[in-house]
Amino acid sequence: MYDSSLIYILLILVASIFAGIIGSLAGLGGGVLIVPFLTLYFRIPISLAIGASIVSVIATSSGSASAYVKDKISNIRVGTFLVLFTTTGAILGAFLEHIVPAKIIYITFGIVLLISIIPMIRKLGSEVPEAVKNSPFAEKMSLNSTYHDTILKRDIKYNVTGMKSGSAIMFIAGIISGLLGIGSGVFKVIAMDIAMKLPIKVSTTTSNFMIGVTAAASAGIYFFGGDVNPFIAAPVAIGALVGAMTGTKILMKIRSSTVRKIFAVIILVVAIEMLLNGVGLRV
Amino acid sequence: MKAQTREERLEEEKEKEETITTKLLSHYLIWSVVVSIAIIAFGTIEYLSTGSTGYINLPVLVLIKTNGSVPGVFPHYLPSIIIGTIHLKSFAIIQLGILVLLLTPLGRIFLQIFIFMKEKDRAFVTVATTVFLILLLSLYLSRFFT
Repeated sequence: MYDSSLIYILLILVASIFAGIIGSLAGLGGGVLIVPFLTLYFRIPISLAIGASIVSVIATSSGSASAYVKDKISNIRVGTFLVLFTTTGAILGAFLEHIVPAKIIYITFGIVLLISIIPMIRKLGSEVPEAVKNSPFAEKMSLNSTYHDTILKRDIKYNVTGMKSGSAIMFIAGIISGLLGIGSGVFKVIAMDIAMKLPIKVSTTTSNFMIGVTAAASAGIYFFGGDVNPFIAAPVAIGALVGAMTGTKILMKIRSSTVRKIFAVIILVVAIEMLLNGVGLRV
Repeated sequence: MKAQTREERLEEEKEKEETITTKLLSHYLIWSVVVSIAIIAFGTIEYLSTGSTGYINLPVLVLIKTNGSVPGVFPHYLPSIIIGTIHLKSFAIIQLGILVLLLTPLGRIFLQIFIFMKEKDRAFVTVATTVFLILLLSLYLSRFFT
């Protein structure tokens, strides 16, 4: 019995490292592949997979946020305001997870993975949006800001708009995060890039700050509800963190979009497997 | 001329203060991850070297399908986690590490409230405090999910 537990923990650890590397190379964060790997290949019940995954999301986002706070690109005011909606959504999402049948969760997961592929193939939003006016609310809360772009070698001033639609998308991003145990960074970036017209660098780093806080809102519910099984959660947290750190290092060396397209195929295969599992067609 | 130098000095001071707060935040985030992962790793190594969870030892294929509704397999409440940790039970130690990790964002928002206070940003002190309360509410609501 003792030998098989060692083998199992090592297998979960390796799978989580792998998920962390692919997740960060694909630009999706480590979490999206943890639940599919644990459920499809380890036959772990989806609630326990989600419980372990949401814990690892906090580890990877806090780990990378420590680097992001220093470069001062993330807009903490925008992030703190929007986190109001993601955390409320996350609590609702965790509640839904407890009442919705597992097959619906598999199908939702598959659909979310398919949506996540879009920004991998097509660039959304623009590097530095032009001619954006502050919306009255953004003006009142002074959400506009400046950051120094090291590549363009100049300070970029930007305004913030679309607070209503941005907040609404954030609420949905929160529900998805709480329901599926993922960071749902893609939805957060979509809200900030497309609805609120933030520069892409600001939205990615701000989203990273938001992911950890959002995950904490549902992680408490999974943990105290008994869905965080230490046998699974320990190797997943360690593995996903190591994987994400390795992925970020690799990403600094290779920056071609072809790599992303290869990973898009992997995500597509996993998405189809989750959908098939949801409709009961996977053996 | 004199006024300008004073302005510059104020600007400098403000920048210094900003570096201190970013350093504080970044250290807080790094160290809470390092500490929690170290506790989790310690518990895991203890489990693998002793072969005992400190609780009911189930076969692996049953264990990976067991949640907290089955009593006595792993602790998931604060008092039982603390008692288990004192008795050096490996699964209690892992859960303690996870709990530290889980509370990291809560502490981060708590720090953010003070940063906004220092910046005399009253609107955002309110926003950050509300976020903090929502996170506390989520912890309270967790009791209804068992």
